[in-house]
Amino acid sequence: MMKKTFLYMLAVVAAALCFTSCQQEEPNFDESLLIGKWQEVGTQVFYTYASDYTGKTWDEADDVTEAEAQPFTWTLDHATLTQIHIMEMGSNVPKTYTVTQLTSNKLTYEDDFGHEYSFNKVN
Amino acid sequence: MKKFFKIFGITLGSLVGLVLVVLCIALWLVFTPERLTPIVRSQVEKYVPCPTHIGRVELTFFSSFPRFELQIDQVAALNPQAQAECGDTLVRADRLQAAIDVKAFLQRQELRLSGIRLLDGRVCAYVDGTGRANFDLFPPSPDEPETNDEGGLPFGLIDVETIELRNIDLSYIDRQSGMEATVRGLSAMADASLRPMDSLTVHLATEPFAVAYADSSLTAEVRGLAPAIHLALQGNRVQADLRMKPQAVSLTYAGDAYLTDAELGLDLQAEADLSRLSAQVERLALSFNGLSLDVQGAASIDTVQRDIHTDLAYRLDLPQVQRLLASVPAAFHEYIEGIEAAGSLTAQGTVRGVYNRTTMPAVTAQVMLKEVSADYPSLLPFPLKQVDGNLTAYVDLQRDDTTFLQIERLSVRTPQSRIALSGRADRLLSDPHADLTADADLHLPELAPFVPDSINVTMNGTLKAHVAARASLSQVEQMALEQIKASASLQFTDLAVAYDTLSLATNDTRIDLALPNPNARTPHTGFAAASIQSDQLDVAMGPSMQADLRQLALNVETSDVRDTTRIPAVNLRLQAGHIQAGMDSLSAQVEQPEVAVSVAPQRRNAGQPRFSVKVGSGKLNADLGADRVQADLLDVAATVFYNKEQEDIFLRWMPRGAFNLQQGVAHLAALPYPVELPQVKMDFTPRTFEIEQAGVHLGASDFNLAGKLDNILPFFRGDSILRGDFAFTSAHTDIDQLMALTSGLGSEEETTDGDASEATATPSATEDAPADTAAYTGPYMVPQGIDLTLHTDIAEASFNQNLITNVDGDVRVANGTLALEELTFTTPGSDIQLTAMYQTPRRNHLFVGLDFHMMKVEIADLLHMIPDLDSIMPMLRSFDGTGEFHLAAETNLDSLYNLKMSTLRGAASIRGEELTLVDGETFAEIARMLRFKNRQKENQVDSLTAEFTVFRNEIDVYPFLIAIDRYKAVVGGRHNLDMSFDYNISLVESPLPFRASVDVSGNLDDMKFRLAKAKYPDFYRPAARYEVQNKQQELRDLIKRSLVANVANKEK
Repeated sequence: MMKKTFLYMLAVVAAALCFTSCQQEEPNFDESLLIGKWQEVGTQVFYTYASDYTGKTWDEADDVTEAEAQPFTWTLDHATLTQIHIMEMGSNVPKTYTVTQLTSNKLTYEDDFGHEYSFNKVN
Repeated sequence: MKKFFKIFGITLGSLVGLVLVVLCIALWLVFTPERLTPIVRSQVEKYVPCPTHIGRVELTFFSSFPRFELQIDQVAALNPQAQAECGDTLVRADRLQAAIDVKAFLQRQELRLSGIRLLDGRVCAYVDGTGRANFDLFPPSPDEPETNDEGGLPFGLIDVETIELRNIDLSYIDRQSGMEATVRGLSAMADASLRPMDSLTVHLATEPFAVAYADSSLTAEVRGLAPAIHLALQGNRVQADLRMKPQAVSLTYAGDAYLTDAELGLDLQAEADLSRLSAQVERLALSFNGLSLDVQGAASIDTVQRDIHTDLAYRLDLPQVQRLLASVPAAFHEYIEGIEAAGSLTAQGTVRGVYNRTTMPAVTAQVMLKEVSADYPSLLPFPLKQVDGNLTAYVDLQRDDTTFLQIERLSVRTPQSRIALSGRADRLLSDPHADLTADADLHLPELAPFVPDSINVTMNGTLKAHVAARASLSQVEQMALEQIKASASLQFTDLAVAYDTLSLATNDTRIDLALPNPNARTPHTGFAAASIQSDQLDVAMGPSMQADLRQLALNVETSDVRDTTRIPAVNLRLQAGHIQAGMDSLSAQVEQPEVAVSVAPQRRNAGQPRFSVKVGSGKLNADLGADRVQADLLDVAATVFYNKEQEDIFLRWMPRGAFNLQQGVAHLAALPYPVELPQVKMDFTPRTFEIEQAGVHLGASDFNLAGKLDNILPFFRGDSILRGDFAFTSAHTDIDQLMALTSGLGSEEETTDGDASEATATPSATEDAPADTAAYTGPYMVPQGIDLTLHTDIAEASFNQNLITNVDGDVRVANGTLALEELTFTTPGSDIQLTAMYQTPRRNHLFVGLDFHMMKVEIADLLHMIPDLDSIMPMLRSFDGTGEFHLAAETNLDSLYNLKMSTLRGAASIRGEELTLVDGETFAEIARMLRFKNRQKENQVDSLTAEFTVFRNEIDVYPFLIAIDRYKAVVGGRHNLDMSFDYNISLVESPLPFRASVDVSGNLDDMKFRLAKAKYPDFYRPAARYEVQNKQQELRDLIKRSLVANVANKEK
């Protein structure tokens, strides 16, 4: 019984140590730097971010033009970039990323699964 | 000539006086020729003013008792001064005999001679080039008045009872005028009495003699003349009776024989008043080779006005035309060469009125033709026979309005044809106006020679025609058809006509023509009418085109189509028992066809035409080569308004009408199955196309379409889109076949070409395109510019190898979008609500979107129905049981329907109770690591509520709670479409004293499990969630709300 109680307490302490130590302060990024047209490095995937928090994306490798791009809305809260892709069928597909770099011509973010996406501003 | 007769008379009188003197001497002195001859010679010299020759004179009494007769041989009157062909002889005779009435001479001083005979003599009158005549025996004596000649005779009466000439030659030669006339062998018997020069009666009977005439330009000779003449002259009145029985007369003119033994006869009975220059012809009968001319009446000459007044009646009989033709002189034979004629001709009439330089008398003529025949091969290719006619003519050059030709009857036969003509023609001399009726039985091959050789036409058969026409020459010349009245009825029997490659054959066809139309059905179609009735009509053009019409009835009536200032009005009606037509590999057969077509000005716009068309038929069958169409009944009624101002052909021809088809079947090469149309009934206007009923069996589909297509006219004008609303009911519909049938409709893109980007993006699409562009193999392109809604009520439908039932909902095609709107149906596995969208903005950029709801669905059926779902959410394969599934997904496709992964978007929500986890190996490993108590291969999942999103090739599984056994775990992670994944399973409630967690990664072939830090330990404990986790939960709610919103709408 004592052994079991000990194990419970050890787990609680370990968990407490673990969770308190992982909490970090998120950096702030200037969302105005995001406004514009970005091309994913090494691909023909494009994103545009408008100041009204709308955007669109397309992949010219799939024979999709900018006029045929798909829309989304976006928000940038500290380092969390949320894009909600709007489907014509009425549903939404949200995507959330953590911005790691945002300059006037460079954008890098990653998702929860460690996949990193890098973009260069094209205009 | 008058002077000649005067001198001749005086000479004759002198001779008579000589005879009297001789008789006196004979009576008183001597009666022997030796004594009488000198006496006579001396007396003749005394009384005759020219030298004479007296041969021997003998006086007889007993042989001529009670008269003395004096006979003188070798008597002659000479003019020695004359030097000419006549020599010095003026009159010469071998013998001169004369009997005298001595009693009348002695008692009444009357010289009555009888039996004067002049035998074998010659009289030669000659005028030389200076005009001096050998018979001018008396030199002019200006001192003696002319009247002395009349009163100088010593006799109160000279009466010559008979004068006989036998074998006397008469010659008159006038060198001054170049004329020479000769009478040879004249034998005549004449009675004459001469009172004191105011009364002369002459009877002359002749035997056939010859008359010759010659001048500088012609030479004529008549032989066989034998006239009998009675001439009575009393004062200025002359009564003549000239008769010459038909004699064989010959006439030579200019060396040519104009008459050879022609039968010439003359009978003239006339009375003339020389002072008034008038004559009354009691009878003038002239006969010539069977031709007889009778004339009666009066004629007079107005010397002041130089008019000739006539009032004559005539009759011309030609009982044998061939005799007259045979009388044509040889000099003219070239003109009648080949002409043969026979029959009789009679003409009679009058000639009344004044004749002068400017005026002609009025002439009437009634001509009768009887059994006339003629053959003139160079003019007519066939002989004319049995020409019978009765014609009356009246010609008055001064009053043409009274001039006419009345054809009571005129019939002509050819060897195989007959023509009869009757009617009347007026105003013959100015603008002839005819009212004629003709009946004909024509053997058409006889007419072939009239067709120019350059036109390769052959004709066989007969034509029975009745033609009536009323028209003037000017109307015909000016083609003033609106003023002409004509009708024709043409009956063709066994007609066969071939012209070049065109041929026509009929056994019995009647054609009626009318100008104007006496039975016009409309006020505007009274100009002309035509009708064709035919039992059988075969038409062919070359070996490849042919048509066969049976029991044909065609009626046409029209306005004056030549009037280009107004729209013509035309009515056409065609009926037939059967029509069969073919061209090359195309053919059609129609039973009981009926076509009515009319053209008329539009009521509101008279400058544009309106066409009315009615087409009806019984059974029809059309073989169009690879395609074949047949039907039991077809009725089409349409009114088409034409507007030439429009350029678009649809706007130019705007129809309004109805269509009815029964039991139609179309075998089209483009379709592997026939299109059966049990009943199609529809009305159409320029704006609306309303289908009352359209039953169709199309392959595996069996449906009926009813509804309305609207805005057709504004659509073609570009003012509006095309709108349609139809009810689609079906016992079974094969959606795959229907989509293939309508694929490409309205697409402007060609199947074999595309823009450069498409060719670059999908080279295989163009490389693999078949050479036969008729088979459309590209993607289904949604029609543009239309808004069509199909309210479906389908009991059973097959789609993508799935059978669905109770399909209820709308299928809509609107402006390039094909949408299934809240379509509910039942599959074997679920009740389904589907909203789907298919757009084709361009051929290589298609769009498909789904809003899919399954309220109770077997997971296995779900994956069977939507195989692509296995790629999007492969974890579904791990579950078995019934769930509630909501899916919204959309993507773009290329022309080969390949997904454009960059455009793939999706969101799904699945909710299940008591599901079974069937993937034993995977579950077993997870259960082992998390120390599940129940480790059976099929574990029950008490509840499952999960949301997934698909973005490109990333499938994000939002953390959801799953309860198994005594455990509750939160599962979340990512699944990629390359079948790799990265999941975390965090226990949030378990018998374990800590929050165990397992990461599952890798792929299905190489799955990795490892204990890890719990990623979602507090997801279902709101008080403990971090902000990020809250955000994720919000997004999950957003997904779920948007997914079920459509379901709520439907239920509402």
